[in-house]
Amino acid sequence: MINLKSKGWLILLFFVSSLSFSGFCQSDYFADYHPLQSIGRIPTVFTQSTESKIEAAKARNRASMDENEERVFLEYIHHHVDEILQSGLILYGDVTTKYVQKVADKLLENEPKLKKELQFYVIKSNVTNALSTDQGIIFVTLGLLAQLENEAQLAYVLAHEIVHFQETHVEKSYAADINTEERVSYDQRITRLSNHSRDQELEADKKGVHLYHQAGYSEDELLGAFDVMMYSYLPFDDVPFDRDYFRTDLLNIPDYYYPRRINDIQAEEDYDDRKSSHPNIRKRKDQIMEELSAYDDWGDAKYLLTEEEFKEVRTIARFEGVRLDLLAVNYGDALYSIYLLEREFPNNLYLNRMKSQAWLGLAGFKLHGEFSKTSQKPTSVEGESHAVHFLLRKLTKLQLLTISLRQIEDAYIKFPEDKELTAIREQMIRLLAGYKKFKVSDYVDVTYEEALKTFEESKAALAADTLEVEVESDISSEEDEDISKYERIKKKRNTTEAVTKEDEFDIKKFYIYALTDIIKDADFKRVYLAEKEKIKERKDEETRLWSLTKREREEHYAELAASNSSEDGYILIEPSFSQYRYGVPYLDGAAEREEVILSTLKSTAKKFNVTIHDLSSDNTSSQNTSSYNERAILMDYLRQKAEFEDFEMFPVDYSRMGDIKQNYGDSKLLFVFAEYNRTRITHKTELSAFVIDMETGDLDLVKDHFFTRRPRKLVLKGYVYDLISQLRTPNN
Amino acid sequence: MRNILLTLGAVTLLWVSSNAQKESFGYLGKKNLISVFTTGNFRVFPAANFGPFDYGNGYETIKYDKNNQVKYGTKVFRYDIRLGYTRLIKKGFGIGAEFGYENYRMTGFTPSNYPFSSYASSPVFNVFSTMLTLNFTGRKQIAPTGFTTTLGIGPKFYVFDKSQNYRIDESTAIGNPYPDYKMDMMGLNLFWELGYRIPIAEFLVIDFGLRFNAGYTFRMSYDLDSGIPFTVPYWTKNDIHNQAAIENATTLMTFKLGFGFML
Repeated sequence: MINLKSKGWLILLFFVSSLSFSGFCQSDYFADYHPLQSIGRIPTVFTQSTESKIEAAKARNRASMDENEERVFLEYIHHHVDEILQSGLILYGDVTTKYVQKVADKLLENEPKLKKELQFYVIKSNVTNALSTDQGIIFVTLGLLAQLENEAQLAYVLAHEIVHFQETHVEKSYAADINTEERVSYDQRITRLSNHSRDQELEADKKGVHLYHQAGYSEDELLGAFDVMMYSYLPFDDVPFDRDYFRTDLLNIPDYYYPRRINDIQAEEDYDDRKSSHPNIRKRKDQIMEELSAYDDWGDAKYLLTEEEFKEVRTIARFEGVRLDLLAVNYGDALYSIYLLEREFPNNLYLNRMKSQAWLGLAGFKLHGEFSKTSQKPTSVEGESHAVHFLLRKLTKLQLLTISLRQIEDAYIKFPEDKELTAIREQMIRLLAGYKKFKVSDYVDVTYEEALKTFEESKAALAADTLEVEVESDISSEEDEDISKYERIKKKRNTTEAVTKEDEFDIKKFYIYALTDIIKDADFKRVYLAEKEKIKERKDEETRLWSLTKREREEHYAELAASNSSEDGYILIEPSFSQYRYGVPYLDGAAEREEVILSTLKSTAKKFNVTIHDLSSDNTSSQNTSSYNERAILMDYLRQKAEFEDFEMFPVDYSRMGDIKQNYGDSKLLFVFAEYNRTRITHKTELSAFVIDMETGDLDLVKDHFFTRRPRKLVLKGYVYDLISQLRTPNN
Repeated sequence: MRNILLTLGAVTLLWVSSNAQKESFGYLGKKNLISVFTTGNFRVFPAANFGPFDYGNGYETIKYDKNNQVKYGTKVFRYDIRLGYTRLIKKGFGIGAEFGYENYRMTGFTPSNYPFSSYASSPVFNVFSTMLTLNFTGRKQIAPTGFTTTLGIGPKFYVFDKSQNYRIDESTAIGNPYPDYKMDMMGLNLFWELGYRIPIAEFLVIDFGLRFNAGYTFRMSYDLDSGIPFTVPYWTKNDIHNQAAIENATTLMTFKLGFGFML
């Protein structure tokens, strides 16, 4: 645990870094970039219980609802928003949130009452969006910040969302749903909380102009915000992909692997919006044009704060976007974003780490997973990023694995001291060692250029005079006179490796020249051979196990399970309880049941001498920002893990995960999930406990209970006790 | 016999207890269940219509108060009091013992051709039973709570209650129709129970279920019957045995209700 003193230092460090943020020149700040974390004290809205928020919200007069409707409405919106707040995706006190707050302050300078009612937070999401809630919380995504062109555009988006709050659009949308579809499901209602009607959208567009104008922003920038929305499905820039980007001395990816033509961008302003909740961009722009003409005293500010500050925040959002793409295993998108960012930040450590992780992930999915998750179908990609997705889909396994190792090795060579890059490299080598078709002997000791040159020379000589070539074949060229016979043979063989049956140079074998240096590297050999040895040991062990009797095998697995039980403890991520009545989720009593799970879990763990480090959302009220950030990192780890199947994953936040392990001395994450389904005739409850070992990435099901009983307090207690007691045998 | 069974039961429980100590199972880790409950049934089948007793519906009881006044009664509900102990020795398996007591007033109607104006007292027994039980709990349950299946077997002892005011009628000088009192019996019972235990506190469960019973009552010797005039149609030893045996055998299903204390 972090003691008070070190916690103080930590806060001070964050405080200093945020204070001096605008004083950093870009290259210094981003040269040692670390992903965003929340800073300062946890805002009350994160720590208050949902129930207390609902009680407080009842004070507000809602004429459109009767008492029962209001209760249901408040339960649903608060539950939904609190889920977002506890998801680990929300940032507070960091530079992006502070910036959004500052822009909002400019908008609300003349609206002190409204200012008091509103809170602004940034969501770590690549979706380009902003969301206003009935509670007065306005969320802005990092994806939006990454796409914006200037501060004025952000101001208009915020003004639009503020109007949604002012005009109680969430409540009105919900009331409309109730009136028209009484039996609409909870999920549908929740979705509709963020989907307003077209009229409401147009109202927010129109009235938002007032706040925007009042603050003094320029009318010229406003329409640009709609362009941002229209093209938000594209990367944050649309620059032609340089086909030499992956080229190095040893790696030459032929043009054959890139598309001849880049797909056009198809977005249109006047699209058919009949089935959309939002009016199309053309309609919205037309309405805004009318509204703009209502004011004749427009300001001329693109920035009320500084342009540098906006650009720094936007760059941060873009750096973060790469990380978010990696978490979602969108490696194609990540590589294109890295390409864009490296134009401005070449040789950046963070980007090299991210790039290496992307290639490692691609290699892993190519070998073991569902590769289609990692890059989009080239025909569906619009704009210049098409080239990257096309390339990734075109490569064969060996080609992709080789490029991955090459790219990772190049990053490692740039930053040989970096632990994360070293770990990525080692994992990549281990991955290759496990692939049967990867053979070091298939890779040759000449470069692609040399091989092509030699081939062309040979071919030219052959064409000139076949007989002459035969006579002079042992002499070759003047350059080769000094080399030994054996080197000459090797060189000749190396160049003929890549000749097709039609006597053409086989460009598809470009990859066999890419690892010349690596395959001779002692460290590569060490890791590669060690992994090969491990694989052999595993196979031998499997063979041995199959020779045992069923009973002996069971004993073996029991011993293994016992030896795997944590000696120290577990980091509790989530005790979660969800309940459904006739398939529809409901809240009544869920919080109490979750509390029962948590308290039983803790008391049982205590009895069995199992240490539980509680980072669960139920414990937020007693958490500090440090543990909030740790939880956020672990939640992201789980999101990433959920995308992977059973194969080894490299955590995006590798170094911070290491810090967490060191902080708690434990590497096992514990989750307890319960789900209760009530139907007309039965009560079904499922309770599961999972453990994920951060060291190995292995997910173990500790126990799964499925019972046809109501999850009453004492019943839940019994089952939770049983689950947790599996973690350790008692001492008594 | 009773002592042997009790000793055997105790030894077995001690042995399994020591073996179960290190394991982690049971509701909140509790492996012992002490239950206090009743089993009973409604008399849906006529109980006694045998031999010369061909009147009545079989549920009638007759007793005389201190003033020798006859009290007619109907016994349609029969129950006992039981004390059980179960020790979990595995996750879904427990072994235990059960002890029961029933004040059993035999039902049946004496015949109408008896010359006296009234009828003989129903004989009363103190019935003691002891059972060895095997308790099985499903995989999805946390024993000892939830659905359980129990098998039990053990002897049943009928001890004739001599303290009752047995008479033939209110005034006859003959008085007690069971003068020799040597009417103790023994039977062997077994049951299969489908039970359910709901925890109502961390240490307490409501314990209820259905029992399917089968029993056998050992036959007594009838040598003393000769001392009673054959023409007097009150209960003979043979009648009593038959009645007990039939009731024992025909109590096919009983319900169970009580509390269990988890330790």
